[in-house]
Amino acid sequence: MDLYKFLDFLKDGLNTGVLYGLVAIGYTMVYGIIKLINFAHGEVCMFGIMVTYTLTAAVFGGDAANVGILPFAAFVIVAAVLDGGLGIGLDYVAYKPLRNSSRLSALITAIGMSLLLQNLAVLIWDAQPKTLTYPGWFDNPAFEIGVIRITWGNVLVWSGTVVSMVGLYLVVMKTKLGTAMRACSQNPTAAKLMGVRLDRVVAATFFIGSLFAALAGVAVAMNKGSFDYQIGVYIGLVAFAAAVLGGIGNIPGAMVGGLIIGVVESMAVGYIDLIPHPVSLFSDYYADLKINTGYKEGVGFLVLIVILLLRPQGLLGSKGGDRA
Amino acid sequence: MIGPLRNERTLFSALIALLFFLPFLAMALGGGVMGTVISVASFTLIYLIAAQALNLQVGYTGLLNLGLVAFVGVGGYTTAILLSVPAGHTDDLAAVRYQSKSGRAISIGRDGRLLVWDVESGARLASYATTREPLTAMTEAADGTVYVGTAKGRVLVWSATDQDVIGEYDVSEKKKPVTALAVHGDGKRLLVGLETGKVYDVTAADGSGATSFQAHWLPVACLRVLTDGRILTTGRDKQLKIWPAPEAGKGASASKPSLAWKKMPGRVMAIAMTGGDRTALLGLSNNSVVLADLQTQRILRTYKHHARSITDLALLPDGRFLAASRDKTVSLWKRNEDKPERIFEGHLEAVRDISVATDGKTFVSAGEDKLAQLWTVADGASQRLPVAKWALVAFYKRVLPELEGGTQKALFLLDPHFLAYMTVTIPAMLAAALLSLMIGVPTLRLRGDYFAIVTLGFAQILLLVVRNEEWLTSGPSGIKNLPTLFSFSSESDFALRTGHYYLGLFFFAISLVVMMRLRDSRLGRAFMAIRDDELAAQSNGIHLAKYKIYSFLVASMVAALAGVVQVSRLRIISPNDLLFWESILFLCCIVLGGLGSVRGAVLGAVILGSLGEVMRIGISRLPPNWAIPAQVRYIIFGVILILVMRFKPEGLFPASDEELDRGELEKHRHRDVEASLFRIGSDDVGAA
Amino acid sequence: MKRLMTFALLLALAATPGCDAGKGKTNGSGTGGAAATGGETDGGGSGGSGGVAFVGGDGVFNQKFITIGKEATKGAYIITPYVNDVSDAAIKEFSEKFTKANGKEPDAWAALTYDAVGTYAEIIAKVGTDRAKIREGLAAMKSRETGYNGVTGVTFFDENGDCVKPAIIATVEGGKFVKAKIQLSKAEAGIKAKAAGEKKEATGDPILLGVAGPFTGQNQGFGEMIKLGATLKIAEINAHGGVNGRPLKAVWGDDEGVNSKAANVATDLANNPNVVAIVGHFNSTCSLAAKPIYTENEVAMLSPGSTNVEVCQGSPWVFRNLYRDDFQGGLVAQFLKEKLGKKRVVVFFDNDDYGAGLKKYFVASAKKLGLEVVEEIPYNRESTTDYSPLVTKAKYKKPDAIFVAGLFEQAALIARSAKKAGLMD
Repeated sequence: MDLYKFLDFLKDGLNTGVLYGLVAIGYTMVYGIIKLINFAHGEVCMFGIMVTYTLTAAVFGGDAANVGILPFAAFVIVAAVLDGGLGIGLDYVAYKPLRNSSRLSALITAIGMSLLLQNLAVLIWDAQPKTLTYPGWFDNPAFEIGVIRITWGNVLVWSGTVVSMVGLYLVVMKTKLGTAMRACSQNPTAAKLMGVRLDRVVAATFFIGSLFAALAGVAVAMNKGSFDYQIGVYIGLVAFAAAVLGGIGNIPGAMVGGLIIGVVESMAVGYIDLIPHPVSLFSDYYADLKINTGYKEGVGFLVLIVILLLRPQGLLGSKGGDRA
Repeated sequence: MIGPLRNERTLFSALIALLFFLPFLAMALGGGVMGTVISVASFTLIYLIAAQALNLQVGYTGLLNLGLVAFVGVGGYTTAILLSVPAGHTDDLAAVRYQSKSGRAISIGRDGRLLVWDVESGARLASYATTREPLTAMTEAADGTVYVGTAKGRVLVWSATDQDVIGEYDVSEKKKPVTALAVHGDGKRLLVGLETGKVYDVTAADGSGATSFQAHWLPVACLRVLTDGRILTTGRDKQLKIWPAPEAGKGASASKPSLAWKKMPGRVMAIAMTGGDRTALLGLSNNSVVLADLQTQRILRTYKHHARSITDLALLPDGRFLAASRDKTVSLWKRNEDKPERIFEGHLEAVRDISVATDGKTFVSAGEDKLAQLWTVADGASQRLPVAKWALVAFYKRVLPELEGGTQKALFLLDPHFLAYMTVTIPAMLAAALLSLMIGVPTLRLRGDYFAIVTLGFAQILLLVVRNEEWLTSGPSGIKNLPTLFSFSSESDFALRTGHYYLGLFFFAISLVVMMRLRDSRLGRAFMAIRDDELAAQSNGIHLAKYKIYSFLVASMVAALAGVVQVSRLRIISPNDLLFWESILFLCCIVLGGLGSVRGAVLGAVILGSLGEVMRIGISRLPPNWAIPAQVRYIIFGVILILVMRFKPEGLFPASDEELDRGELEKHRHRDVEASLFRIGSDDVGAA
Repeated sequence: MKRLMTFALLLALAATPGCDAGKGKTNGSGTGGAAATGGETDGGGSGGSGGVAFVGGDGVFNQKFITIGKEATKGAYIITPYVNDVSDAAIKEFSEKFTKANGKEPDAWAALTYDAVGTYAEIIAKVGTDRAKIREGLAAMKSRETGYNGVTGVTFFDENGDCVKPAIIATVEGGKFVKAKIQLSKAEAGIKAKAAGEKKEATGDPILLGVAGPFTGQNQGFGEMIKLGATLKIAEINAHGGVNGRPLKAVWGDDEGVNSKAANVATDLANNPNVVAIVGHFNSTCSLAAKPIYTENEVAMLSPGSTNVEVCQGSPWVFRNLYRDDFQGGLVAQFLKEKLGKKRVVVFFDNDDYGAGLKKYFVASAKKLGLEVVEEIPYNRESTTDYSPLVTKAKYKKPDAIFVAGLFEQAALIARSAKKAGLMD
């Protein structure tokens, strides 16, 4: 029973963890090349969901029973590609002119973009919570191991993640574009001198990052059940933390960071109340205080802090690289 | 070099002077505008102070702190927590006893505390706290010993002479709440009524020799020992029973009542015996008081006035009686009249218990509003016990001489409220400094973005702490009902509206002076050397850890001031004052203004702090057919940030070259010292 | 891109088959409506009394709860003050009008704001635009007879300024809210709202009404509904000759759900001599921050969203037209224990002032009634991306009831996750 409970929470954690990881990949790729914390990445993710929502709602209405997997997948892909375009546009409008200014001004620009996109989304789609229409059988259990239920949705998200990670690996390691990306990441000036067109590489990076963000966003919206204009805020924050945890700039690191944060958050829900409340140890008056599950969102950050204390460059980050 | 700085000093002096006279200017413009102008200005002052603090971290030291709101929040929360420490109970009162001979009142409450008050002055004489076990019932023996029942079936014995709990014992193993208590005539044995409907009879001092009987099938409501030793019980089952007197020295254990009145019109919640053992006043749950003949089981008279259940009754020596009710009032009755003679209004919630002085001239009431009040029967005047809700304010009220209107305002610095605020400012700054150490020490090794995300993480964790640690921070609903900045605020419009503004202005002036002094000092130059190049600074002998910590300490203490102003302004603080977005906004202020420049931080904060408010007011004043969505404000906000960064990435009011060169200066100085000592890259010598 | 697949919240209620029997007659005698809609002989029901019951407070009463939660919400119980009788014509009309004007269904806050504006309009028509007189007008609404009769029931106030409204239990059946068979007490029939009167144009100087709420920021979803509710009512009043011939006009005060900004908004509204009264604020903490300002400036505020117990205390100028946390918490505990006979309940609560306040009083009442609260699980509305772990935690406590002290969206998500995890089937 206890093992089941543990596995149950582990399943929940992995489920959200892969999604954090997918969003974090966008952060980390952009960072790897132009050293920019793209604060608007969470909003890019949100736009991906919104576009998917608009497409599915227009065609299927709200009825999950009608939705076939293929058209749904097609819509998600269309939305992801559009979102990739948004990423490129973002870079072109906001970040490209700032390539040579300080990184802080790029950060502030990203914050400005984040504000702009969020409020635009409210004007376009309004502020009410919405729900994504997806094939109804996603929620049916695929396996049941004891009391643990794994739904088809979980299976799809996990396998989809594996496929996209492998795809990304192939792109980065085996293609010309990937080589250019790695070159820019190591030394942009040298890469430029070798004839790599930096702006193109950056655009491609934004495209891939935003594509992943859209895919992950759709999965988050399905997994959670609803979404609104501010769904990107927290995902963006956690993904940022995940990227840093894994070593910012490192693609596998982002996924590892996402998984760690997801699992830790889930485990915190399950077991945090076993930790005695520090105050209850010292005061009889507060003897029955407990640490409650409300700390779920904080535990990810706590792990991040602890890991950074032990390895200031992040789990898989390279030492010596100056990230200042 | 002196030129521009002197200009800056003049500029800031002019700014402070302008802000000082702003309320007067606004007043000249007419009443309506003043309030809004001051409100927006004091709001902006919070940004001004916080921006200075953040500028120290990001602009001077190069530490990209994304969690400044944590310092502001800790400052504010410390202020609020300390100010809100109650002089009295923190939860509903359950009962109160007025020992008029010694001039003391004893109150118990659901917060598990027993407090002893000096009724005359309102001072707290003694207190006793259980482990948060609500105290539910209280009775007093003839010798002044007080017995208190708890929600976990225990009895505490409080000695008036020792001023302490001298004994405690469990009555029932099941730990069911005690609902009523009564002492036998001899004072040796105690009757304990429980929620289960059982009544235990125990030795009063130690709880031994317990006997029991099932008096009712619902919780016992009242217990009385009649003059002949018989025991009267009432229960929530609408029954009133009288049980035979136990044998001398033994506990009561009767199986059958000698009298049972089964069809009462309501539950009997209170009893006052009037004619010996025969007639009694009964306070009922059906909102009325009845005069009943217990022998014949007849109701002789009904007194109707209250809107909610009666909770307690008390007889005055002259035959009149008082009835307390859940409708928040107490009424005074002559027994032969149908209308109450006087209504005592003043409690904010249900009145739970009353206790009359032996002379019958005053009485004390306890309410579910956490307050005990002293009332004069003759004129209905009331006085709150404790005199003030806030312990710290109460303390200053006691130690300071009471001043009359005019002098009080003239000597506003000695106002008890103001002094309380000033007193808590110091711990607020210390708490923020402590937090800054908690963040600063672990992050010493981190740089750039790693540092940024960790500070952000700390701020998020702090937000969760204030949300979840309800015992300390009152949780999501926040700490409310804090004192005004001045005790005479309610009489003086000007003090009420501008007090917090001037406090903010004062703190802003301090923060400006600190920042300018720092910039021109060795400490500040060391910060800037770290900002420009950590490695170079270190190799020039600047002790990185030490200076980074200094930067944290000073910045956090300045930021805490912003928190104090915030609390004095709103008199409430809640987790939504600590949102992540605020930290980002502070950062935008200083980057927009010009990183590392004092002027820039001021300008940025003025623009971003007030822009939102001015746009809000502007949009609300537009004709309705323009119909501009509120979101447009934030879109404009975003566009401004993007445009400024695009066309003036160094900020609107960038730091001058000489400001930027300070780090360089300090490195050279260090290098000189180092060189002369032939030591490279070791501890900082220059700062000694 | 407006979805029209869901019926309007209250329209759905009105269109319930069970209610058709009572239609048209329900406004006659005292309890006619209740008798017609809630026959207790029917047994069976949809809730599955043996399984895990799902109960929500007034924050859950929103058609979106069903839209988001889908089948998982079937048989859920919602305790709400807003409907006296599901076949009330005024409610249907409001719902239709709102949906037509805005392309989305109204929620509780839209309805409460709609009524708050209506309350003020009724008072201003009687006493004029003097701020003090408007307050007296509110304070004089002391009973059902003198109260304002709107779409959320009859609004009247106790001496604190808190609102007193009867509660009904709604349940979800066939994708709609219907009146549950089990009720706490016999509901009083709705009193028919007054006819709006003939259409005519309002002329003269506008009367300004301050409407404050979170129109941007984290809570703007609620602010949006508040704005739409107020807009609709104002448009209606103005289309029918305004108030005493003068049009009503809103001055929007966007408090962003942040205390310090609420204070600015309150100061601005209170210092605008033309603003006669305030509708707002939404967040309890914002109302509390604004309270002293309205009190000092002697202008009445009527909150359509703040449920914290202390909001109305200690100021004669502060009113609200919805439940206090303690009242509702007690009702839910009583319903679970006495009507459904449940023993082990898991409470999920939104870690904000509404959810935590409601939870606090629910737990206190549950304790008194002997209902065991086996777990209290907080969640942060804005940052929880997956409710599965929370539900998994509940699953291992083996509850027989779930109470969500929070809002419709999260309640729906919890129901959904519970179904997915096999906690509720």
